[in-house]
Amino acid sequence: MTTKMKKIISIFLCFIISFGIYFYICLIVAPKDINDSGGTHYYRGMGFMAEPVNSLDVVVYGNSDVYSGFAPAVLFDKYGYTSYASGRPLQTLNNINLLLDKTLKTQKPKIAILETDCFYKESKFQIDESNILLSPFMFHSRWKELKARDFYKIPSRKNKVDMNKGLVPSNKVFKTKYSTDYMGSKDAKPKPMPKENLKYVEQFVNTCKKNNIEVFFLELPSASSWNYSKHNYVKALAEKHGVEFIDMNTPLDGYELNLKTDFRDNGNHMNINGASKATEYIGKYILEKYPNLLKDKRNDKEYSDWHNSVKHYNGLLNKV
Amino acid sequence: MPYFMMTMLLIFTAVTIAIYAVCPRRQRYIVLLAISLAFLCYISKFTVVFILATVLTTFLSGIIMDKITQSVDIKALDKEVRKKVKAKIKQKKQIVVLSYIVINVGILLILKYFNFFALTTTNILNKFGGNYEPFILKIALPLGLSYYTLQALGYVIDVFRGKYKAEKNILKVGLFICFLPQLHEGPFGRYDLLMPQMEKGDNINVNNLYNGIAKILWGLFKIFMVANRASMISDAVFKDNGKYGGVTILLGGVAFTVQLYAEFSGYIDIARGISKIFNIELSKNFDLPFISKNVGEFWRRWHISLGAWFRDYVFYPVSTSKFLRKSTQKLSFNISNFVTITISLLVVWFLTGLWHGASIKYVCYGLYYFILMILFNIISPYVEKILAKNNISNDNKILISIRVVKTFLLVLIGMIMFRAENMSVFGNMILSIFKNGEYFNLLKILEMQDILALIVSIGILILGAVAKIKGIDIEDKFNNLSSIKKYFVCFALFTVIVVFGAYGLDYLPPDPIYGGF
Repeated sequence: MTTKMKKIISIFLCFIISFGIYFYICLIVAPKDINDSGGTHYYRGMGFMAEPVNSLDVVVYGNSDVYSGFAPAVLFDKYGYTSYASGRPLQTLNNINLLLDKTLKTQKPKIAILETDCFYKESKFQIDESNILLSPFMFHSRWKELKARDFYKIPSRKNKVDMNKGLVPSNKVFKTKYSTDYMGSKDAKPKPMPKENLKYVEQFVNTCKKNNIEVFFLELPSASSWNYSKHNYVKALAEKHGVEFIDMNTPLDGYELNLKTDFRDNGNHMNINGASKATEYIGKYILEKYPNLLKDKRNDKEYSDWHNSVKHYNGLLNKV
Repeated sequence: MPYFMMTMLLIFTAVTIAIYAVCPRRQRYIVLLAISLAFLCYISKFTVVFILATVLTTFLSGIIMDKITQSVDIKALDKEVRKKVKAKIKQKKQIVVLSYIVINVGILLILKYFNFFALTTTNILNKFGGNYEPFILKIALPLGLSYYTLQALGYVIDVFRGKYKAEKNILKVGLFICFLPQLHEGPFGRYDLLMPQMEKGDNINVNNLYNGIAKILWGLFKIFMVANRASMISDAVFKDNGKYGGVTILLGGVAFTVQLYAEFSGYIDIARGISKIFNIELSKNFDLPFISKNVGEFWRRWHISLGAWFRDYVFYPVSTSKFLRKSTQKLSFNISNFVTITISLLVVWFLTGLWHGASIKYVCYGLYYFILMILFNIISPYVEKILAKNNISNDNKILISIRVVKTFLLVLIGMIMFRAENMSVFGNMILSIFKNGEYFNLLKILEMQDILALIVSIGILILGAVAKIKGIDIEDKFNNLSSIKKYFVCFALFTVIVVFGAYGLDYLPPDPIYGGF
């Protein structure tokens, strides 16, 4: 064997060995369970991947507001619609587009709801967090909680059905310091969102239209992060794209926010009390706006598992 | 450096390596310049015009000064005439340098210090019954403003002094000023040392590549394993400084000292590592500063390139200035010497303080070191006499330990001043050291695993320092390893940083301290 050949083989072996070690580390640190740190990102945000194929009617995309304030169990219990809350902390619009593409691989939702709080979060990198090779970067706090099973169990999103369908329920009640006029003046100057995000909104709307998915924008109640400046801007943007914009921070028929009972923190995220009310209103809106689009699946045996989710949710609700 | 900028820096470096490797040798410096400018445009946006203005004025100043020097053949003149012509040439060159300083230091003053002066002046006027709103400039600082301005100024002064001839290629002047790795936090480079390496366009070889990558990883290790965790402790203590007292304040100060050292020296390692890949050796900026026996030595080991810059371009000119010479000529040699050094040090430390930031606090920080150095100059002869009388050698290990601890405590006070919001907070914190405060629960700030990771990482830094003191050159040992071993050392370091590093959602990056200057 020539020296050159030896060199090539040793370089090749170095790469193989180091890649093998790195890949094993990726497997170790990837969350194995919803309750592991990063599990919310890894499973709940993409939990629709574990749902039966083509079983979801509605998918809601957004940041922590979504997984705090949208309760799929309520939507099923009251209207018989199946849904998923695909929310992640500090979610960005470019990553939402990635999630939408992933959704379409296994689901054919009839309605996609885009929560608008993340419109103001700058989208810098588009990272596919489901890529196992990025696990050490994405779930870098995991090393602090590693258990024996992490060293041999292979992470898998399939068969990890989330009972809460993406919702992170909180029983905590926080009396916010905000008054009902937290939105400020109705005539407030529209606050533009980062320019880059405009193209991601357009991409989201276009993908939905191409796949015959009805889409609307939604702003869940958020006293600490939302105001009329943002509302006015997003409203104009929604009109430009020809989609509806439901802002639950503004007066709405059939919905009233309670700043003393509906939040788990100081006006940023809702508790399950707030989530129930908000979801019920969203269900009513869907029923009125798209009366024949979705079927009531409460008596459909194929969806009988959803009753367990409702039961589980009601159990939590009773603890408030 | 924010995560985003650091990631971009590493991406730009990778792109540079690829283009540099396939480019002909003679054009490689253009690749380095082009990528540096592209990065600057990307990060600094339109404020890049300021750095371009500095490049242009630096280039022109050098060329004009060279032309002035060459305009007369001095050697052909009589001794008397030669003297007069020389003085005239010097005068003309002085005008060029002064104009250069007015433009470039003017840009620095306006962009960095205008708001500070505007606020201070308005506050003073309002205290005397005025009712003025301060006029605030809302403009982002171009990346590395304080660094490249001083580096470029050094070049112009060197050309003025005739240390070397002016560069005739504006692209090379541009590269010297804009060189990407050193732009954010230094170190300050010297033209005569850097340009020969930059223009050579050496091939990227395996040894330099590994050496550079190892330096980059070592820098990242310092930042992600040490600085980012230590910053969580120092932030907690300094944020609620009124609550705490005694050991907690000292812990906050020590944590900040560790943070600052790890972060700043980490960035320098990254800068040196990137440059090393292209076989460009940037100057050292740290040399075991915490083994210093006095504050003077500390500043010769800490931010070395800044100290050297102020020594060469401020201390020497001030101490040898005609004004000082005339003012002190009637005094005895010892007193004249003392006055000259004192005034020169005062100027140096006032400017050093001001360079760190536009606030009274930083000026006081500079003056604090000025006072310490003057006190040292006054007291040390007496201390030396006492030691000699008692037959205690300067090599005595106990004496060295006491001196090192004393220096560290003095530096620690300086660090608390540096980190405190203002001088009033600093005063209160120093007084709080002697009082009891609220219980500080470290576990509320960092999880136990993080504390352990921090301790182990600091231990590794200390081990490295001990090895260096004992004459073991770790860099040399690394360079002598086989390529396979080097690869796995780098891979291990990379893996440790990726898995155990403090970055991402749970650890928001602290503001880059020296990057803001």
